[in-house]
Amino acid sequence: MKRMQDRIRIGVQNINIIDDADPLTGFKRIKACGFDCCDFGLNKYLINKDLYSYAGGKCITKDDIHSFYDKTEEELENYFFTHREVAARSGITINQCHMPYPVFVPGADRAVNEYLAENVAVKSMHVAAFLGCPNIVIHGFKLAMYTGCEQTEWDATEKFLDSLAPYAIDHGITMCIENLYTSAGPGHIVGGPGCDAYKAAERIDRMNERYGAEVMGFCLDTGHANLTGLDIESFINTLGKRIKVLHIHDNDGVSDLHQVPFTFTKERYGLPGLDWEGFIRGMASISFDGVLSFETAPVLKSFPSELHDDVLRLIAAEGRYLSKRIDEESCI
Amino acid sequence: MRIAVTGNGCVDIMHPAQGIGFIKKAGFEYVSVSENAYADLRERVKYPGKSAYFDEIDKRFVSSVSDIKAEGIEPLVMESPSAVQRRDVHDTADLAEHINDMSLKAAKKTVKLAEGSNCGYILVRPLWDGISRDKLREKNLEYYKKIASACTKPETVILIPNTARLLNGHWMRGFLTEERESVSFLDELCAFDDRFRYCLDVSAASVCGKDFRELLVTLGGRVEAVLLADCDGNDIKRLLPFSCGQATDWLGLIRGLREISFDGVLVMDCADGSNAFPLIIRQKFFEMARETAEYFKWQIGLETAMKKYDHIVLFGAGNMCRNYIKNFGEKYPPIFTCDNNKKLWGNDFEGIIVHSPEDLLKLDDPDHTGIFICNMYYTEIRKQLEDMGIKNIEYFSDEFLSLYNYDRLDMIERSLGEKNAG
Repeated sequence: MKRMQDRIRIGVQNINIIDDADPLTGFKRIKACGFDCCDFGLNKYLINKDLYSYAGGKCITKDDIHSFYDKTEEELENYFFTHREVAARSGITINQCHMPYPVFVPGADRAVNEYLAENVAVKSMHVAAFLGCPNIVIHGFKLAMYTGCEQTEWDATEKFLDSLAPYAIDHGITMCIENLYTSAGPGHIVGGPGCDAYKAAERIDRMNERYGAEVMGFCLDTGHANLTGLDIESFINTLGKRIKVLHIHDNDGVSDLHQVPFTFTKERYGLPGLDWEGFIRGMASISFDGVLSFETAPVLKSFPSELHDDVLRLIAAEGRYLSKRIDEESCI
Repeated sequence: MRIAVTGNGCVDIMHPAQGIGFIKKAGFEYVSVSENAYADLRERVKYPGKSAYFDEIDKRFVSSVSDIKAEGIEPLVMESPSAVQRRDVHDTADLAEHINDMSLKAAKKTVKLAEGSNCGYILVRPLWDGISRDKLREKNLEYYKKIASACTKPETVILIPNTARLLNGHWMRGFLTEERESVSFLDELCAFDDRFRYCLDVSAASVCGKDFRELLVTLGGRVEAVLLADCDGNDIKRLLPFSCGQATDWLGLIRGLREISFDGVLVMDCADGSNAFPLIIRQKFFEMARETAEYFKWQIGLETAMKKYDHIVLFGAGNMCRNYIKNFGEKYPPIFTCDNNKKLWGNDFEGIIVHSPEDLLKLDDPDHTGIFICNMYYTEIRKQLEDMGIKNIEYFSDEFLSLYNYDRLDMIERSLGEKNAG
């Protein structure tokens, strides 16, 4: 039996690395910098800011959205054909995708939300299946502020996931909900959908039992966990094997910065403010042997282009470090 | 619901008169007291050579409690000394064993002093330092049971607050911040002795991005007290609510407290705020704190006002009225609404008819009818109604509601207007 360290693979986000006009160069670069896998962000093709810029006081309509996802399924397959081929040729596995978000805009007219649910969501699943990707990360609806109740918010998300479940089962895709945050006022972040590990675990089990398949899983986002002060080790232990994919990144505990792990400290002592030791212990405890995937696209905006390969190599090295530590911790 | 204010730091135990004066003049009847402001347990353990100084603090603290009572203010909550977590302070782990031993002794002493002073609530913070995560529950169960055994009065309530844990300067959720853990822990303690209740420390929960509404609704009737304080969401501070921009989730807090029909103790826990104010204007701070506390009491108890009346009539036919109907219309249906805008009279608005304000003089049962102003011009409308001889005037507020209707009345018009302009 291989050691955990040898089973764990290292992944990174495609955004700011893969140029759609020349995906081969990007995938080769990912491989050369030490990664095995890629988190393919389909959200790149329908940016959330474009949707939110219309909401909140203005009634967004379908005419306001000019979307990549207006393409037919065949057109999308043609668009991503080269990506699929060169990823495989470069030795990179696309292990997870990210569905565009939000998938529901409060305040938008009905046609917009229907478009998001019935067109964007479905087509992004199709792209994931076409790319041979087994996991897709989906953001839950953020409605608690409007409905006054987290359960009502989840009921709406569950209904949405139910609409996608048959496709997910047919194509062997696991839909992964993620721990999110929400804004309780300018500059104040509170736990959003997916922040209660017990509820998430129950809901995943219930859905999987209903469909008799692993149609739902969890995506642990370390940066979001840091922003909402989660006890990451307890969180991981509660969710256990339901954690299928990861978004690993760091921040200052105030904003969602998606930076390189071990970057931020809150004190003169210089020790990291994010509980990386707790993360390692948690991952070891659940015998995680998936992909340590870094959601660090903004890093390539922070660093000058001359240093991009260096920083990608640093991220991959951090992945190997975490993998080694998880392995060691699991042997204790 | 009783309102208390923390005297920490403000009531100088060496010269208590001025601080007590601020509190009394502001109209507070109750106070929450703690020795922590003067010497916390970490200092006592770290500097054993200063025991004479600490003994003097203890003596003066006891006498300050008597001074407070002598002024007609009741010490309602007494907080047991603990070790306060601070950034850039990393020696508490080394001192943990001594601190935890001292915590129990201090708690028992606090029980004696509190019961001797007829102080109904004792706030005891959980043990945390030097205890591994998997032992926290067991150690604290043991700890609290011993404290309960020291109580002699059946009416003494031990308040247990949620905690946050500092990791290298970053606040994370600590013991009793998660709902299920808190419910399970409290229920097990209450099976031993029913005097335990939960105290929501707003600032400690806020720095961990906690969803207040979910926490409160899950805990329900176990919540007996709230330490109301604002902070910037980054570090635990005890500031006056609404003084940090919108850095605290007041909506979630008020929703949760309303849903559980909270009627316990609201502690204005703003020592950092009051101590920052120069002495010469500190009185104004406490007056503001009192107003703020009454505001929270009003918001939390919004339904209490509605329950007083057999009938309800609204004043205003705009968004606030609509919000009343959406949130309370089913449970407390209004007979009608009225508005000063003649063009609206006779119209159906959200299922009720808009009347002239003059119709308020023709009510069938005016003594048992509440008139709820659903308009932000409360003062002007109140005057209008009082001049008409109308009684039972109440204010409705849609600042913190259970449901929000994002399709505001005028949104469609605004959006169409912009399209046409474009």
